[in-house]
Amino acid sequence: MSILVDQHTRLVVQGLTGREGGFHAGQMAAYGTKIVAGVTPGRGGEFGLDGTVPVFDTVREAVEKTGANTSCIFVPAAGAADAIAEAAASGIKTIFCITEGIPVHDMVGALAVVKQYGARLIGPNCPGATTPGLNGLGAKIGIIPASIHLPGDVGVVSRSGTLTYEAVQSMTDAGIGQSTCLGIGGDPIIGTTFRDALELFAADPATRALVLIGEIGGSAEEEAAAWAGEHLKHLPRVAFIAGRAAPEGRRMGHAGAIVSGASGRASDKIAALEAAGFKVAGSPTELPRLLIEAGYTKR
Amino acid sequence: MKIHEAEARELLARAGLPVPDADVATTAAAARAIAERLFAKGVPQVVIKAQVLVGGRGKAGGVKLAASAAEAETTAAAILALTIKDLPVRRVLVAPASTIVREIYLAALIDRTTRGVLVMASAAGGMEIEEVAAKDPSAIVREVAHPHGGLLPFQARRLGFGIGLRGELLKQFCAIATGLVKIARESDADLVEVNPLAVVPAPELSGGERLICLDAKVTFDDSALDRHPDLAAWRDADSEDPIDREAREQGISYIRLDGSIGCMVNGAGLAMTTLDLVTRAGGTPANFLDIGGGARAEAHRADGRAHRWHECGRGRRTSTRRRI
Repeated sequence: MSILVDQHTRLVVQGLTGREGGFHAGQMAAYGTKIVAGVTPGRGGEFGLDGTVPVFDTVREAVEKTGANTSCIFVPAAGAADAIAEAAASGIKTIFCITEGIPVHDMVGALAVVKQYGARLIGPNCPGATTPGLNGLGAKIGIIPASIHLPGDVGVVSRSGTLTYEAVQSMTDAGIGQSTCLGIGGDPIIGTTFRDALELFAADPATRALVLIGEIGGSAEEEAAAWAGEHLKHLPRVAFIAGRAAPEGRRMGHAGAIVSGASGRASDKIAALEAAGFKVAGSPTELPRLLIEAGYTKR
Repeated sequence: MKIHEAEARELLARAGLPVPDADVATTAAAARAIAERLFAKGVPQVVIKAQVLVGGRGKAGGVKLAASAAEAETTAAAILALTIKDLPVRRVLVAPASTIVREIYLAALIDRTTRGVLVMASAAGGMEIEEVAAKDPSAIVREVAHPHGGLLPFQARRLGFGIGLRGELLKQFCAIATGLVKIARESDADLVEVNPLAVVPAPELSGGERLICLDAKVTFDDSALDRHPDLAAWRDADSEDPIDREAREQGISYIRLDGSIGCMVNGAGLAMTTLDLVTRAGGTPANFLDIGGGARAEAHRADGRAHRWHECGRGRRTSTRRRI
């Protein structure tokens, strides 16, 4: 079991014919993800991924002809919000957007369309999600390197990309496997929040512990902590917050990572998480030890 | 990207919103000429405002009144000689001084929690909104604009009624609130703030009062500047740290810090974590540098340059200290 991505995922890659889309689609397929279609407007009729995957002009056509149920978007920033809206309006229920640097007003409009069609967006500016499987196979959507994973029962949710890879690697090195590892993205406006992700993990019987990796900016960690304190009492849970040493008022790489006035500080997030029963690590490499201390037992 | 009050005023004026009849001067003589023009129109006093991209300019002596053209010239000269929070004042805005009946706060901004354009209004204008929020949260009324339709008329009315406006002022307020959201959406601004939105006497109008956007603050979404070359041209590159500016022009995510340990990291989250761990171990990071999660060799080379600039920056600062 897992969340959002598994062997039932039938993936359409929007932007399959581009350099990033093509490369990562190959990586996803090699890990075991079922890629059924690509979409690039104007390139319909071609085949991608070494001639194995049909490319369509529209997402609607891809859904009709291949039964795609999940999308992964590698479309450049100027057209990415439109790609999200197109996926939602074409019946895709789970949409991952990897693209970084989408204008924030475009996202406001795209999210409204996602909501209107009852779809779920993960990202944008996110690394995607991996559900590790046996023998180095599983299902992954996005750009998370496959090699860091170990199948298991700890759910990981993070706002960051490469930081998550470090954290997951340290878990794998300690023999602690993951049910699903999910990156929700570093932008100020994103589709799936920490709280949403925790709700998904809470409903997944295969997830027996949680790792939350947050960073400065906004209050999504505090909101998730408040919910977790009420609803996740049965799960061992640990967290790491990046940006303790960040100066105020400066944007730390991620558009969403900024401490402004009294909001978005690492110290407040850590306090909220600790109050909700999370053990908070001082370094990502401490996460495996803290999981054990929080009551998690390896199976 | 932040812009100066003068450009924010210009943006509002282009959208047809009421703003002061002001102009920008870079010299005392030019400030005097603007003041003369305003006095000739019957303005009793002018206000001269330093254009710097930091708060607290009033307290720093960067905002002053003048009652004559000669006084405007000497005042402008004094303000143009100021350095406010390390930023030399290069320009002043010269505007008619208004008789303010009362002040309103109004802003349209991108809100993470509602994931939309949030419009906030408060009858307690002139104060920082964070201060109002802390003292009396109920004094702030909020509406989330329609994601595709902007601020709808009923929403604008609810805001206006919510801060106690009626009649002619309510109508003017609705037009301004709707206009701010339109500006935010069309120019990809993540903040359009008018503070104060002032009620001023207007004997010519039936209600005897009107609204005017006395000061405005606008920031644009950096991710959208490519499609607004006209707005991007308003960037005040002189206010940026030169090292930060070079990094930005190279498309590198770089922030100079005061420490001694250079950090070059793939990905923003990991870069922040690296600063945290260096700090935790008793070191002091010299910079934040995110070369991106998917960085290639070219990016690393460019970032090597950023590090060299950084060293130059440190060298310059050191020599400045020696002179002192």
